Amino acid sequence: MAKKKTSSSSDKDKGTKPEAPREDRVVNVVAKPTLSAHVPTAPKKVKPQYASFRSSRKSLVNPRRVRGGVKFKLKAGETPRSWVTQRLLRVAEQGAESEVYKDGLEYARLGQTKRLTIEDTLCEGVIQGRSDKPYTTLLALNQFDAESQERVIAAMADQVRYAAKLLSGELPSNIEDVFAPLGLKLFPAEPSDIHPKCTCPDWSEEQPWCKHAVCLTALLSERMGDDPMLIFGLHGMPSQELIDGLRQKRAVGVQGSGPAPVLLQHVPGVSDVPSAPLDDSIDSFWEVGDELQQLDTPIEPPALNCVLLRRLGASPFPEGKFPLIGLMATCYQLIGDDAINEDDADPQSAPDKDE
Amino acid sequence: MDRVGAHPDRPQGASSVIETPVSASDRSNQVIHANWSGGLLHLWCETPSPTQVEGISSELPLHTCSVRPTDLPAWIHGEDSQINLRLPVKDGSPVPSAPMSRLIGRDDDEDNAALLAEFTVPTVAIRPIDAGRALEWLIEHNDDSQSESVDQFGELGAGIQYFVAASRLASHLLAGHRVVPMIMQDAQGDLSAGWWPWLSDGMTAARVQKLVSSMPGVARAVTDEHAHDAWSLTTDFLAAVTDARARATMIRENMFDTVEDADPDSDPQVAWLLGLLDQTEEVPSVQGQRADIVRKVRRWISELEDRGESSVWRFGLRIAEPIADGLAADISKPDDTVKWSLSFFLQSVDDEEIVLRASDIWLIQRERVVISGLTLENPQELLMAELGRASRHYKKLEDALDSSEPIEVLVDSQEAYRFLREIKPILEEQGFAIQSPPWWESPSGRLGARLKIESDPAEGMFDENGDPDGAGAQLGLNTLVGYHWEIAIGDTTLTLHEFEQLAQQNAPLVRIGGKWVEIRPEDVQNAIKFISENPGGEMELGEAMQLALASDSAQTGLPVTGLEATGWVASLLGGDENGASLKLPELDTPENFNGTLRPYQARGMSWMAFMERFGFGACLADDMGLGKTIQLLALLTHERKVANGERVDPTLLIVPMSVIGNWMKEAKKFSPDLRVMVHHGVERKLEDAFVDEVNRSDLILTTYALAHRDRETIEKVKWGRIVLDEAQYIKNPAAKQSQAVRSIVAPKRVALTGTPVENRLSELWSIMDFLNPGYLGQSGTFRKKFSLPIERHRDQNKMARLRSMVSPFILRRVKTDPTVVSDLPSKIESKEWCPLTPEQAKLYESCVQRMLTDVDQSEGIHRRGLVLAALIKLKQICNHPAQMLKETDPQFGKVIDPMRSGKCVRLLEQTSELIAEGDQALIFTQFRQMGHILSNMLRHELGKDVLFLHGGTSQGKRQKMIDEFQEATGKTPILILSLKAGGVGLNLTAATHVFHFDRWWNPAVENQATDRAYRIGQTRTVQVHKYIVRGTLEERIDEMIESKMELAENIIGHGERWLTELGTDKLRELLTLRADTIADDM
Repeated sequence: MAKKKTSSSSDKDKGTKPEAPREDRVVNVVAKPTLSAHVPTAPKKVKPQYASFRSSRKSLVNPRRVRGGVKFKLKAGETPRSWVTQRLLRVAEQGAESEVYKDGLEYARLGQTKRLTIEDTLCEGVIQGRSDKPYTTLLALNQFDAESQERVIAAMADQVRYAAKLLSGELPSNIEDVFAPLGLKLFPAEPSDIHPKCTCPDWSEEQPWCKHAVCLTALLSERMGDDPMLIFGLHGMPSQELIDGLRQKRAVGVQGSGPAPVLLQHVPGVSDVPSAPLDDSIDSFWEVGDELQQLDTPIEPPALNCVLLRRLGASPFPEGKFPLIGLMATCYQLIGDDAINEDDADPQSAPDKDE
Repeated sequence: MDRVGAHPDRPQGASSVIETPVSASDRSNQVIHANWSGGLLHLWCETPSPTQVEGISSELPLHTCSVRPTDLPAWIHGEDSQINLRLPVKDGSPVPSAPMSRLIGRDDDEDNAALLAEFTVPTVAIRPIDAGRALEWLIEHNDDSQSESVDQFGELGAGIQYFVAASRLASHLLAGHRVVPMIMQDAQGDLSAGWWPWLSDGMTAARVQKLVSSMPGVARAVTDEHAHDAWSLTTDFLAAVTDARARATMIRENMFDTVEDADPDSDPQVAWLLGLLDQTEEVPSVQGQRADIVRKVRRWISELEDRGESSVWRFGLRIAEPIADGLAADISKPDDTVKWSLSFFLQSVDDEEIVLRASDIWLIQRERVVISGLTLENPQELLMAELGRASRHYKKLEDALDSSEPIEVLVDSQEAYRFLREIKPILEEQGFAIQSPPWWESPSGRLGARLKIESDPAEGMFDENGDPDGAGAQLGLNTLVGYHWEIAIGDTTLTLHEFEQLAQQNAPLVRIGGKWVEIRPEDVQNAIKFISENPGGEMELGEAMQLALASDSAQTGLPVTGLEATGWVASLLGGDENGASLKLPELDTPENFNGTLRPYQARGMSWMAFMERFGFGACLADDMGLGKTIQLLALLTHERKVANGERVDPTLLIVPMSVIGNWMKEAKKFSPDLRVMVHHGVERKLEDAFVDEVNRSDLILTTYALAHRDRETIEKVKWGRIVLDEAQYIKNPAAKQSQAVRSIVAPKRVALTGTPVENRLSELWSIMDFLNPGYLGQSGTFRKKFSLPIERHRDQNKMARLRSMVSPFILRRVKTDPTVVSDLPSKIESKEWCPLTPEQAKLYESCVQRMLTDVDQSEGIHRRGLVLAALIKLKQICNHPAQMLKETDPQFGKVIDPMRSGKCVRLLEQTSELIAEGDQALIFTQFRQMGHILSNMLRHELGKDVLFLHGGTSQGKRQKMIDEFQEATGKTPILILSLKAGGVGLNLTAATHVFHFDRWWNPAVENQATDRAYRIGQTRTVQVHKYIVRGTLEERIDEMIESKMELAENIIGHGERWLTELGTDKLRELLTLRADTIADDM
């Protein structure tokens, strides 16, 4: 069962992987496009290309080392777990010169970034290079205006899958399907979708992809892989607003759907796997799956009473005077006992025949 | 109202159609379905033909073949409602569901639906609080072994099965305290509260995964905001059911009173409780408070999902006993200066073997280490962060945080015990790894009571024949045996003195014999109480076994850790499940037995003799084909040999009508000395005449029906033994036949069955209560204690306990047992002698009479034609009257009643038995029409899809069927072939049973058919069953073949033509029915 990930330090296994297509990519973006001039396109469905971040040559960069810096955790040769991480890395790779990209990634791995902040719509990094003073690097994305935000929320509220996922703090992988028809782009798909700025001498309007920009993008990509909801904030649409908006839309727009719980549960492999379309299940439409035969549901008291309550610890309302946890413990006991006793009881219409 | 797909038969103009009154008796051709929608469980019934329902208004087309279920028990509180479903359609109409196809015997190949369309369906809607009970009621009501109801539904849809499983999961979560108090917010921002199932933890998540992944299409067919999503629908159902049930408990217990006087405005906890403890879910709150409440509760509950900093490494604690040096080796309270250590480590999530101890982590100089190929970044930081996280759940760990390089904390014994009992499970659930000593939670590490039973040695109780030495008293489960209780820990038995010493210490963890053991304070008290209340003495063996094998600690106050027996009781309990290691005298094939027992059969006979010797009822549950009949006949022969001429009380053998013939034939063949009497038929003897004849017989055969009907006559006899063949016939304990059979008095009791009894609990109870009355307790108690937990919830512990109780009384060998398989030939051929039903007999006789009259008056080709036509008719009558009468065009779903044909009854018995054993079968018939009748019938009766391959099957379909059958998924265990279509070329080795439903009378043709299964690639024993109706031409011809008469030799190769040459007298002799072979009651 052990899935041991080996960090290969050799270049040999590179040969078997496809090289990223490099000829036709846009290397130089002349000007930072303004929001109004930006004509969004549907994200291209490109197969992820891993070749470039598989490279793990011996470090050629030689910056002043930083202790306790923010590090890019993805090892050379590893495939990012999140598609969000993959996507941002690819964009940076397309934007920067090949050597610059490699250096930037190395900076990120070395932990040259002294500080990384994501505030409002900006991602800011303080990155130590070879000179005495660190550079300040900024990343920005196109902003969604109020009208676009409305349309995004409305579109997502229509799709239960998106809504449920987002309400539980997760990002569905095909979320871009919602944005494309609206003429919006949620995740950067090409270098011009990200607008890096840096205080280093290599940076220019013409070629904004210096190694610090790459470094910062790499770190952001990883951060965003863990918390993809960050993307909304960078577009000027804080995720809480999105969730609130969504909740409201859903409650208004969908008849019969009740109030939403403050925390939607996540069961890996279940809650994040959409059911096959109903139309595809005609062959097995009338039969339960075989796994139901293996479902055991023994009715037993817990090994440890109120184990969830114990894990939760003290009341979420420290200022409250009522002994909430104690009362709840009693509730759990009563609920559990009832479930055990009720299960013994036969349905009322089927009295025991021989007693 | 737009109605698509109105049935052509239906009168046009909806108003002219009167609602078909759906009375209870109509349920038998309905399939009941369940869906979850709008917070309610909707039940609806599918009907075989269009029905009109009033009071539905919908923009959508109505599902024409659906009605509301009626006559549900009043406590279900259903309300008329309707829902919209997307269902498979063909030509615009919904196709029958798979269970409906089986029910009406329709081949669902006809219904190749490729599209879904939305329909409105009338329903009865049930509130979540009643949903679970309503579903359980449906399951039970439709279970033949539980209920004799005449108004059962034809079948239960997959939605019922799904939601009942979900509701059982909800019960499991409630019982295990796996719910959380939740806050919900609606669009206006208003708050409400509810009890939510917590699904994210390991074990629960695995269960939910099994559940959700098996959700059938029909259960998610509702068109609503869940968008057919299995997870969304299932969690909505679970949440509604857990909340309703938890809330009902809170209301019943008046929990609301606890917060009634408190002020929700000043304390948000009170507001929250108001929404949890009473009918109303509302959480009273003002605008400004809400965001704060939502945020705090979300953060609070999200603690349960906090799985730590790293997804690759997990933090762990290892608890270790104090080092033994300097400790007293035996019972002694460890002094308080002795410390247990809780040391820290990091462990790979994927490979538990990869462990890095804290003491090593602090030696690491680098920020990144690679261990076994796994990279660990900043190990020290991770250790500290996770230690901090763990200390939130276990404050003691904070002590370690004072140290700059913490590696462990030390605790005393009391604290170590608290850690093991209370903290360990919490930390484990929070995703930490805990390593505890092996003795912890092992049965040998805990105090328990052990029962010792003393009985005489078994060896002294047999003579050289392996038989009881004459004077042995009648033993049995009522026998008093000496017993006493011991207090034991693992293998160590404690003396009273030692035990008292223990009790005084009042320490939860002590060392005994150099080993650490857990002494729960409550166990000590209970043990003292128990021992003083149960000083030992004598009790009935059955009671002792119940105590030792089936009791839970609720009865005894402390765990019963085992049973130790000496003497013959040890022999009884000593065998393993297939009886292989039974230490009992092995008997040889009795002299007068006309045949040789295979070794396992000799063991079976010996086992029955042993069980009878000690007064136990025995259940021989060998697989079909292993020769249960032979073993019993051998036992009877043996018994008479041992009696040495003295009178042996007769054996009453109760069998289904369908196998009477077989028993007669086999008894005659193997035990010719046995005087066999058959008690059935209208001319059967009653009262004194019966007793007289019984007294001149050894073996009396009768049927279950007559055992009940003639009970008073039967009770007049002093029986030596009563045997039930196909004992599953008494599966419903409450049925009159079962009760009658159980009430017959006989010292020796045997049950024969080929079905795996242990998996069918009411059947098991019924058989065990027949064999050893009272041993499993009253059926109601048994149901509560075993049936419900095992059947509803698949409770493995209960199953194991029950198995250990019954296994001494059941001998079950399966064909694949290594000890059996070597004794078995690769092919077993047997004849099944079936009776005629009265209807068949009447048809048969009139057909013969007409033919004899006709042939007398005709000659030549005409005469031959008449004879041939009559012969075919007779064969058809033997198959099933409906075939000869051409009652229906069988291709178009109509189910023919199997009870009208002796062969069909027997076929159903055998196929259901082989399916229960996980086998597959081929059924050959000469008649395509009979194939259709059988496929509809079996599909209906067995609830399985049945394949039918005949001359008209297209090549493509033929291959598809063969592939499906060879895959052996258990979904299509039966393949019917018309002899012509299936004679050659096919490879059907997935079958281990071959049935020749009617005979070709040409051994070569039959063998060719048999060889479909019995050929290269077949690794298992193939059983061939040849069906013959007794007393008819089938039997006569079989006799001819067997006797290898010259006639037969010469002509059989030519089919039936020779028959047409016979003179009228010969024909009369050949065809006239023998009167004693007609069933009076199937």
